[in-house]
Amino acid sequence: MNATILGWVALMLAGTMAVSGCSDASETDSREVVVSAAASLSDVFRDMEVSFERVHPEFDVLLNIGGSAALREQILEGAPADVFASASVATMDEVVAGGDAERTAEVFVENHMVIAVPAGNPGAVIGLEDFARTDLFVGLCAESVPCGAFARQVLASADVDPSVDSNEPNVRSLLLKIGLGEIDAGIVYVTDVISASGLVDSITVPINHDVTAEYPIALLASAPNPAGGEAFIRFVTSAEGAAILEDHGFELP
Amino acid sequence: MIDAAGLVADFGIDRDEGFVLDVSLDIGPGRTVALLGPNGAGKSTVVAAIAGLIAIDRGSIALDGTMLDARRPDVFVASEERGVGVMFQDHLLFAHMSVADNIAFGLRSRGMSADEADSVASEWCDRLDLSGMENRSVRDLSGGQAQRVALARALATNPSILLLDEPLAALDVTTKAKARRVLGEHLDAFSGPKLLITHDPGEAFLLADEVHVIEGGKITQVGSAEEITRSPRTEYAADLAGTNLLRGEVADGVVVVGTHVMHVADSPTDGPTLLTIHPRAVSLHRQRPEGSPRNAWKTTVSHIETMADRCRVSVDAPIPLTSEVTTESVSALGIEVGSSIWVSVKATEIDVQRS
Amino acid sequence: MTDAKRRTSVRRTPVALFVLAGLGVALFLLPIVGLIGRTPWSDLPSLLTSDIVVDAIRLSLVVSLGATAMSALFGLPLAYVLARAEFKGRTLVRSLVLLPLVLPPVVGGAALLFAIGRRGVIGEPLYSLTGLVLPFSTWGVLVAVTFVSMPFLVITVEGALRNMDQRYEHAASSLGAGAWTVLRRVTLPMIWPSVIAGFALTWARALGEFGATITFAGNLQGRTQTLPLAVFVALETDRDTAIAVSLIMVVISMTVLVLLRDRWWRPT
Repeated sequence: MNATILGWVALMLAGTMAVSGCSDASETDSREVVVSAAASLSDVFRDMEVSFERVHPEFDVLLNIGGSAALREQILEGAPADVFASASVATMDEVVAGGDAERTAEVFVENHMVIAVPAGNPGAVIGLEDFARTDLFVGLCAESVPCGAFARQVLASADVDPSVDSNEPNVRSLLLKIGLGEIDAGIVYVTDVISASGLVDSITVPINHDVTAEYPIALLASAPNPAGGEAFIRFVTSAEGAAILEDHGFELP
Repeated sequence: MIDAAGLVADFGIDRDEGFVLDVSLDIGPGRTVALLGPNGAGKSTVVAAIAGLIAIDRGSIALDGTMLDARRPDVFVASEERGVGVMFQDHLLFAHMSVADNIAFGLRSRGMSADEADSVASEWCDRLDLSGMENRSVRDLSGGQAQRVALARALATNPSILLLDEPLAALDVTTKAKARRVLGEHLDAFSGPKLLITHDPGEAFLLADEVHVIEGGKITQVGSAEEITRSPRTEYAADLAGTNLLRGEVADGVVVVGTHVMHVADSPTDGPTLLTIHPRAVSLHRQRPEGSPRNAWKTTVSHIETMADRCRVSVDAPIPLTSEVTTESVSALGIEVGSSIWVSVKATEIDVQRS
Repeated sequence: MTDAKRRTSVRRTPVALFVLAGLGVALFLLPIVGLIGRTPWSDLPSLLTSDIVVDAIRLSLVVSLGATAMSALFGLPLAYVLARAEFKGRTLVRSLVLLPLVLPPVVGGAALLFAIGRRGVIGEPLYSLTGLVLPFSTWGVLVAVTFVSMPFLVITVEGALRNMDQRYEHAASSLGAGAWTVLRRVTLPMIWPSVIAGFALTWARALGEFGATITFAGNLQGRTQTLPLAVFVALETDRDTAIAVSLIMVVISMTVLVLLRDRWWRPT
């Protein structure tokens, strides 16, 4: 084949793909609902997705799970999503301040903190004071992640200076390592312990030290499918949505 | 236990693709044997086996009474322990080292101190016309210089046997003659057995005492240069090995061989010279040939060798020469041993080289 | 090259290839352009001297150089054995050694955790016998990083050994050199450019390692938080630091590659 012809074909291919990309988007826009949700909501939102699609077969939910801060960055950089469910009010405030939330977000569910230890509690952990022990392998979420911020608030409230051995990037990897027995003690959400029951044991955090984690949810300003986004938020805040949340250990505000 | 000086080797090697090598070589101290054969005949394999780079499958190799490689009982002496000196085709000089370091390599590998090895290397440089080049990188050498370094490197370790694998193959024609002479001198000076591998009959006949023709992994003929030229046993030997080689002296535009004068087309400058005449270029006539070619003389047939459709007719005086003609011509000429015959050679058919 | 020669050689390459090649280059250039565009140039000095960054740089340098050394210690002999020794299962061993090249690093880290974590298959007996714990320690980072970067050294050196003319080694043997002498004075000098290239690639990979490190060794400033981990964490809350550190890493990597020029893929 002549070299020049080959060049034109290549250019045309690239152009066609770009154009078709645009047209495809407009067709699926009305069906797809992109939900960016914090990592700690991953299990409950998967169930939420199934139930929502049963009630609303005209919609297809796409879950985008990640750390709240990472999701915030994506939204601020213009990533197309319809709904944002954050594990941190502060993170949501930043999104709102950036003008990316359609209206003020509402807190739709709450979570609490708990101490997680490997099944069988090999480190013989009793309470928050044990987090200062240097002979234990202690793990927390990184401070920049909501779970990590809350954990440190809990420890500060109990006046404990923890001897941390790892700042995990998200609560799932922390949970994994506790489950494997590589970390002797960590602070995670109550809902995480419920989802990992059998692999981890939990120790309650005294109420006076516990922190309430509030989860706000909002429709995004640049949502490609605002109708779908609205429907999803309505479902989450409905009675059926509340039942699913409580099943996973979350508390209603 | 084989109790003899020199190389006593009688071995076989089975290579891939069904190639079988079976050779027998006895080389006494100070003797040079040439292994002459076409490419693929197995020549380099013989060198590798004697050098200890590959193991034999049958037979044995012994050097100066020491068994180097045998199957029953199982003996294998590693290459570095054999005391062999090898000159490789392509020279294989270590490019990252200087001339002196290359020559000293074998000595330093055997434990000699760097200083001592350097001085030995320096001596060898002087002996081989490489003075002052000790520190030069081998990458900067000419073909002839590289060849001399390779020779020095092999000789410096004072080996018990010298193996030369196509030592002149990497050289161009002009350098070859001089290099061959230098090589010849050092071969003469070496007192151990010497094995020369080559595909060039001139090289074989000039440098060796005895020539072994090898084809397809087997030795097909053993003899001196004259014997092979006179009575080649195979096609290959006849085609390539059976060439007339004469040493002569150039003087006043002609070449004098013994007492006989040969006229040649291009005579080089005065001095010793080598003439090569293909047997087919030697013509035979009952009477003095017409047109009076400049090289023509009357002599007596000393030997006739018949091979299939060809004949080799040899004469001894005034110079030994073998001619290759068809059997029909021999009958037509009606010649036999002792017959009178006129021999002629065209001046243009004589290849002249400085010796 | 003279102008005339230049024009001739450029003319011979088909235009279509230039177009496609140009798009390819754009793919590689865009992230760097994006990075440079967002760099807070005036704050750069203070960002790069903050203790998080300094700790990460120190740790990264120590670990990457250590991993390169470990790779040399185990990888060079491995490359030699793979290239020269004849043994059954050689292909399997080579595939095993190259596995970290195709495996996602996180998978590698998880596998390391399962094997030599405190409760790992080998880690547990090791811990009860010696008290040695690798995860959440700098040694753990070293292991994770060596795991992913050593294959680069092995593959580069093995290739060089295969490509070199072994007759030079034969020549050395015939001259009286034992195996170690041949290795030291002939083989190694002959493949040295490839060895250097292998070291450079290994070190560059070690410097950039993230997935296996964070999965196996954890993430703690000063102990296990190498430069890539620092970027990851900073990305969440301190974008400027993230960009500054990313820029440093790009500069280091580009420098290494430019200095290597063509040497790492050309036969010796």
